[in-house]
Amino acid sequence: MNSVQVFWTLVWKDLRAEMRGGRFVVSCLSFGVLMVLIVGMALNAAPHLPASWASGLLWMVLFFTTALAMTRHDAKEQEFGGWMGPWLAPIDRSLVFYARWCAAWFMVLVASVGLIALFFIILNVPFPVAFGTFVAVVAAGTLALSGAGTLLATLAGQSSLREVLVPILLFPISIPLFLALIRLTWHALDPAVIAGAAWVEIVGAYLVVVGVLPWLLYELILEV
Amino acid sequence: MKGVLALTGVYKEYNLRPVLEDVHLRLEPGQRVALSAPNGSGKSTLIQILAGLSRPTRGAVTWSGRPLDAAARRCLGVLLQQPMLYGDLTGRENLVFFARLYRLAEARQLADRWLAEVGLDDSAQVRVREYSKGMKQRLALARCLLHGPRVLLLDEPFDGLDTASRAYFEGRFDAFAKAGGTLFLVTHHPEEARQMDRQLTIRFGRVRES
Amino acid sequence: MTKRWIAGIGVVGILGWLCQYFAFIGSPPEKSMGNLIRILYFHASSAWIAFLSFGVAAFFALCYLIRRRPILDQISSSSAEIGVMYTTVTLITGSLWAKPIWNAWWTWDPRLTTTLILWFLYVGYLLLRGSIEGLERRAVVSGVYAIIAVADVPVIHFAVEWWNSIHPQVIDETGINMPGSMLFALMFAFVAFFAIYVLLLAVRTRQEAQRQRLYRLRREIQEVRGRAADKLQPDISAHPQLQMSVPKGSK
Ligand SMILES: Nc1ncnc2c1ncn2[C@@H]1O[C@H](COP(=O)(O)OP(=O)(O)OP(=O)(O)O)[C@@H](O)[C@H]1O
Ligand SMILES: [Mg+2]
Repeated sequence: MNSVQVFWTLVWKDLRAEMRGGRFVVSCLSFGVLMVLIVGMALNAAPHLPASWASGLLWMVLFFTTALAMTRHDAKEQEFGGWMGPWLAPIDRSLVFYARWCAAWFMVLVASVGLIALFFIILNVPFPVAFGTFVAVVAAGTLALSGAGTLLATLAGQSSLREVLVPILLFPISIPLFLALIRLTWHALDPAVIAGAAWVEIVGAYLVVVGVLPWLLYELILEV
Repeated sequence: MKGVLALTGVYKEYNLRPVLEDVHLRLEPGQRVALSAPNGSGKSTLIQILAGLSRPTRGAVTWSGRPLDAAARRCLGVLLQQPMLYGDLTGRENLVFFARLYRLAEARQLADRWLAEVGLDDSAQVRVREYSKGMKQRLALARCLLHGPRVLLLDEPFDGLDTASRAYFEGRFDAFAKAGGTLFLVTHHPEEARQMDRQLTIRFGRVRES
Repeated sequence: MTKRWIAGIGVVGILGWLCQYFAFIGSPPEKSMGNLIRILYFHASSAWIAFLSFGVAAFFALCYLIRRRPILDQISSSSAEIGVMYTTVTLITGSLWAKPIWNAWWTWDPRLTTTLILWFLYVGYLLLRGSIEGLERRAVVSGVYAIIAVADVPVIHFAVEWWNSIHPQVIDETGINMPGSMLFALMFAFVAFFAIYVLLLAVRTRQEAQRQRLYRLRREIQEVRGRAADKLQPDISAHPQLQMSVPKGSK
């Protein structure tokens, strides 16, 4: 067995725990749908939204949903001291982070598929013209977002304000990501709008930083 | 290769308050060591440092003269006061999970064998959250023995066990030490400590023979 | 020690008065903005010092993560705290300046927006730091965050700039095209603010260090008392239950 298999074992553990009474996906989805509904009302049931607004609102909903859901992970790891188990195993400890990220991304992705579908239906947003681009943007965006969220949830994991702090830290840190995703989604909804390559680079930069930083720092953050 | 787990000049502070001071300790293969000291004197802290779970403020933990790294962790079997299990997974899934983390072949069969050993085969499919304290302790012991460690670091291992399983694990630990394993055991019972080869205590943060 | 502090405070005080003199009296009004330029001396220099102090915070956080000396963490966190203060000053003066110039308290000017995000970043830092138990852990976690935050600042700046580049550069704040007397006033304000920063950093760091020292001393007194009690009961080992009252650790 190599590191990849160990990685999948860790992911499997998170997903299995989620299926057993973790309600990550369900709570994400219901919170997100509720927000879509509220946004629809706040806009006074506008019959059609400009593409720029639609993309902005979509990412606002996704950001809030992910940020709130990120902390749900920790209580289970702490309950019987489970997190120390992988810590004792002969593996690189940062692998634990990557597995958590992957599991969180998977769950956020599942939730956002439902969320996005309802978003388009409820707010009556036209189907994205560049559908391939749209899918790629959503996939990369949620990947970067859940990575940053997992990292910040780890940082805030020891804080007594954990639940509030993760959104408070996540939003300012990922504002460039937020802007980039809005622009790219706008482009996908309305290809006439040109999104500069710089925005793609920003998303890429977030992925690289979230990918590399925990390799150096994860063990440090969690040390007792 | 027989390894020696050693602490050299280890200090540990929590919030500027020294818990352990200048600890030098060598755990030789085949030795059975008991540590007993009053509550809050730093026994669990010492075990966590030995296991590489806690970083000493100063000083070093070494395995055969080299710093304790990922490869060296494979040789340690650690039981803390917390069982280190996942409440949402069943007993069997927990063991399979840890067997895979240690990259053991045939994880499922191994898990089943250990569940039978510690007498949990009936509850194998029950979630650990629903286990009693003693059941969790048995499973935690199975977890720390599963990968065939060479050093056992046990923090009050018999806590919550019934007489039969206690006798079983005592026998198992003796056999382990006879086969050349290092046993380091924290206990509050003087008679348990007396059965060991070496008795240690902690006084004013320093580890002493007693 | 005390003499040095008095001298430091005196120098900062004199610099502060001179700074106000140059800003309010010494420098002429600007062509297009008139007397509003005077806000800029405070606005720009506090912004620079804010950036500087976050940089210092990240640098010392990195040093702490490598060397693990408590003093490094104290410098780092003190610097971040002072940075939040300077950022607040920047935002307020920026707003005061924007109202007459742009006819709004707030515009989505890239610099203003970046500064506001920066403020949130470090208010998050203070919240994070304030809510973690355990000195070492708090130092490590907030140190890592300080480094991440500083690395994020340029990204935020460029992203906000690309996002909203509709506002023209109303004034080139770097001041290359300023007349000499204004440039002098700006530079002087910068020096004065820097001196204030250094003084605050020294005071705050010292305060933190003293606090920890006090804490340590109190612990040691407790220990000495405990040992004395221990000596009075030489047969304590015969009564294991009594040992519980004996504090551990020593010097
Ligand atoms: N995470 C922590 N933060 C602050 N202090 C801690 C922490 N963990 C332990 N301590 C302190 O360190 C000291 C030693 O704790 P430890 O758990 O090692 O004691 P112990 O000998 O195992 O006690 P027991 O017999 O109750 O298990 C205690 O005084 C405790 O207050
Ligand atoms: Mg203990």
